[in-house]
Amino acid sequence: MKNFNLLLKDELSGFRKSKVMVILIIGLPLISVLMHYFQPDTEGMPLSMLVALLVASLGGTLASVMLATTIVSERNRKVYDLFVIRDYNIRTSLMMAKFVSVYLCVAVAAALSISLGVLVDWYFQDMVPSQLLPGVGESFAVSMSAIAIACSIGMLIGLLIDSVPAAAILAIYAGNQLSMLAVLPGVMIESINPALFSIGVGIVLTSCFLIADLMIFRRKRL
Amino acid sequence: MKNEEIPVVSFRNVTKKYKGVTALSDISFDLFPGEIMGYIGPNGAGKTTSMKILVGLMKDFTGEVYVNGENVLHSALAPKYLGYMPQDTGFQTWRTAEHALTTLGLLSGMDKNTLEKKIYEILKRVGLADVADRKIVHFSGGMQQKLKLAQALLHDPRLVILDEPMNGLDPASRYQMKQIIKDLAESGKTVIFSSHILSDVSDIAHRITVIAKGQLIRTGTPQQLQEEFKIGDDIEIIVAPGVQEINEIASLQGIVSVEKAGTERYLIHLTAGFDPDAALQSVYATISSGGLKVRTVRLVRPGLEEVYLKLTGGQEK
Repeated sequence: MKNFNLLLKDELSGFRKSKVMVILIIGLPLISVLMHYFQPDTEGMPLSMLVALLVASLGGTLASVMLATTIVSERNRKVYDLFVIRDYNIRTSLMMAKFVSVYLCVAVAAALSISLGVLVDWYFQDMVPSQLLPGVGESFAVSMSAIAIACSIGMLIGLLIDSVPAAAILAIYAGNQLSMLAVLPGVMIESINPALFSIGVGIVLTSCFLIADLMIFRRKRL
Repeated sequence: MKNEEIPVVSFRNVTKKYKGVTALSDISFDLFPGEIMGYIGPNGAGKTTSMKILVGLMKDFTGEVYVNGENVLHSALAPKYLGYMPQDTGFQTWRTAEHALTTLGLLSGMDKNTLEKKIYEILKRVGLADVADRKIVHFSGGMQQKLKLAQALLHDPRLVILDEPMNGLDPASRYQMKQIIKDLAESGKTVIFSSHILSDVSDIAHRITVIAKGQLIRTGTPQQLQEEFKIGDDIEIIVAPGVQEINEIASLQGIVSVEKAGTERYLIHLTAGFDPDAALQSVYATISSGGLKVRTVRLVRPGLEEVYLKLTGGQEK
């Protein structure tokens, strides 16, 4: 746990300063504001929900690509050797620190973006906070579930593929498509509670992919 | 070296196969405190594989490997005793040199309070103190090589394993690297290093181990290897311009052949084991009696290169 905390702190500081994170932190909230000016026909769906869908899709894709390409690049440069020779059991901590740090960074960007969407709804559409709060929670839950799935898939691709461009392309497609499994049924089928559904699917799929990731990395020759 | 001591490294009948191909075949050797072992062999001979087994990066092998009495497969203590400078490993380039060493030092179980001082000392020793806060992405190949050495020495390990440590270093840095290796041995550390630069190996290694095609060909001191392989000495003669032949010398006792090695340079190859002083005397006498105009006559002892070529059958150096 001590090693995990150390690596998480390090990875957070690395990802926090990366260009992709700058794009996420500025770009995703910007979408909330721009959506208001484009005034899309949301068929009664609050802007915050629409923003959540977009954030889940874009943020998840970027997180997935970021994880996949970072892991491939670090594996190819044999960065992990220097960690593993110091503690033979560090592999789980290494991967989990990467997952949690990217997930947290993207979660912050998503939270900012959705909060901004709520503010826009509140200000421009005269929706009172009590009306919006359940929607906010729902939107956030949906986004976070989709992003968690995308991150775990990105990690899997990073561990299985040896080429950075191939990993990026695969992460864009697989990460995006599979993460939508947690989002779309809840949006399209009225009888399903979107938050509960996405949390359930998110936990199950993310856990499965993470277990696979860790098993692969523990056995992988560095 | 000091066989009464407990070995720092025990490699016992280690065999490693990759997809049916034997990378290491029944390798065994022991290393003792204060010993420097130069590990040489052609590319793909198995040097890096044996080093990776030794540091615990490869687990699927047969045989037994002990570091300071700890089995590298089962002991969590083994990593504390060893420092490893890999050949092809990179750092996370967003880190500064100091940040990278801090993380690696903490992972090695070093005390946070002493770590900062130790990092400064080690960076100074390898010549990177001035760039401690520079991001690694801006480091040259040689600087990264030095940083790799720094991380290997940071936690003061008893065994230091260096895979091609001289790669990418300029002559001054190579000299510095050799000095560091010598200092480590003098302070009682055991050092294993691989290199393709045989002069570096013969300069500092107490023992040389030659490996080829996954098999340990020979291990011994440089002198032992030269004696064992009975590589004869050479006499180099540089004649004055215009001197065409030195045929008289070829017929002297103890001389195998005369090689014209340049316009005015000849190499006289002596029979292995033949007394070089006797050969020199007869060469001087022949030159003097024949009135040959000669500028230089000197004895050339065989180097590690000859031993290496003989052992590996002339495979790529």
